[in-house]
Amino acid sequence: MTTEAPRIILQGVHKRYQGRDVVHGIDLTVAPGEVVGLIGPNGCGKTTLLRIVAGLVQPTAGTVTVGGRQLADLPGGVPEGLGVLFDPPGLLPHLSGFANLSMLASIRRVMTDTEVRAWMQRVRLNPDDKKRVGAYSQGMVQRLGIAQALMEAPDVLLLDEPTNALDPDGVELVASLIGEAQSRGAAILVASHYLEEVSRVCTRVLKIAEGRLIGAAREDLVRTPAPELP
Amino acid sequence: MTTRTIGVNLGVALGGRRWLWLVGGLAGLWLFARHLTNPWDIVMSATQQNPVTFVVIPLYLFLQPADLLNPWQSLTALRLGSTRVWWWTHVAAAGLLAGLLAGGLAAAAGIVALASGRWSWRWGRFGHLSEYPAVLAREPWSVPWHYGLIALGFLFGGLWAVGVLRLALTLWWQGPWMAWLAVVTLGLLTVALSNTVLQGVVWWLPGAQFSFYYHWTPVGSRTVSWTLGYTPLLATVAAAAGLWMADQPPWHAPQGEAP
Repeated sequence: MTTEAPRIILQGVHKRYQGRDVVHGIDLTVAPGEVVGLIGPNGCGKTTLLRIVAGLVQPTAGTVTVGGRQLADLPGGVPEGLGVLFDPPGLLPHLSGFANLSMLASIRRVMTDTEVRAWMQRVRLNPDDKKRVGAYSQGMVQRLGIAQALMEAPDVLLLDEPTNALDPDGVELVASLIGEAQSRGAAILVASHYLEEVSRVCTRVLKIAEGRLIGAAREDLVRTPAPELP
Repeated sequence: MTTRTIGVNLGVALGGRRWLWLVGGLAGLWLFARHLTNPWDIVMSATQQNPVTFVVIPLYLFLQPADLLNPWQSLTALRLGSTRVWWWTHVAAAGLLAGLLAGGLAAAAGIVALASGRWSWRWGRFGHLSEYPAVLAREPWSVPWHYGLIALGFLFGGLWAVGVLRLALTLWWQGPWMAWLAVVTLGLLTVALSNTVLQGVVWWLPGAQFSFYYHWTPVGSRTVSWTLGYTPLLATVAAAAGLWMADQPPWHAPQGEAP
């Protein structure tokens, strides 16, 4: 890890939905090159927390800083340069995998079609496959979702259940891609309900229950932090 | 209304200058469709997630009313999250809101006026709406036609607005001037084409040559009507020039380079 300022800073973040508190005063930082895992059962607030960091859900209280800027101060409240994998991945079912990635890539326009194709191949999908995403298997959809999250080399990466529906080969692939993103200094937040799976790739794993961070997961399950960044 | 009447009206319409409006409009539509990566996109826009993306997201960014929960919207919103894009979504959203507001008000006022009998679709031709009951008794089918036209206006205007917004959003990374050009040109085209199509349809409807719409659009006089009739052609030429320029260096950012 580096001594660089954290890319994600949550201070006293609280979210109330329809009279119910789903996130309670969470404080959390994620530094460049750090992979933080959030472990907890379904409905414990992991996804809401990721959405708050992405600026897609506005916290009821507290501040969120991403890439050195408070989301409240950003136009639209949405941070730049973020890679996100949702559960389920948000892809258009009537388009092919390549068309989906190409359309998403066309918004920021930082990638060529060749690079998009290369990313599809990296996640072991065929860019020439004309099959619509609606006809994909769950595992293929997940691989495509991972590609869209990582393909623009984001500085901040938010992954919600990244290994959902993946076979062991796919799980290995995700671990390797997360490792690569970490090595180039991305700050990564991973939410899952599988401790063993997440702890393989995380430098720090935190438990979350009923919207509260209740401490670190077992140290022995967490891998050694990545080497110092140049 | 008989087949013969429709045929006569169609012949009159095609025989007059209105064919120019239609040709201009169709040429504009063709250009528009051709520019899209996938022409089916616009069809899908009307039925699937894209209108959400290209209408709701600008509105969301503009109004920030609530949390964005649909994953596709979210992915797109995150990729849209740059300052420059933010400004353009605001411009687009403001235009869209203004259009919806104006269209909604006009339609509501029209419906109220028609319902209350204070405005006649025959106003221009027959002079006064005191003839409303007589016309209604004589041609009861006119009423569904006119409400149908209102619905058509909404449908057409809505689809076209989504299309214009889609293209403007597609072009914004060419630079602000390009987005302005797209918005202004296509806005002009929208007005002209809406008039053209609505007037064209109205003209073809037997007994409805001077419609409610005719008096509600800026095309109130023959001179203005004639001038605006050619606007689609001019706007199409301008749009074609704009789209061509957008593909020329140095405006066209090469693939792989940041805009």
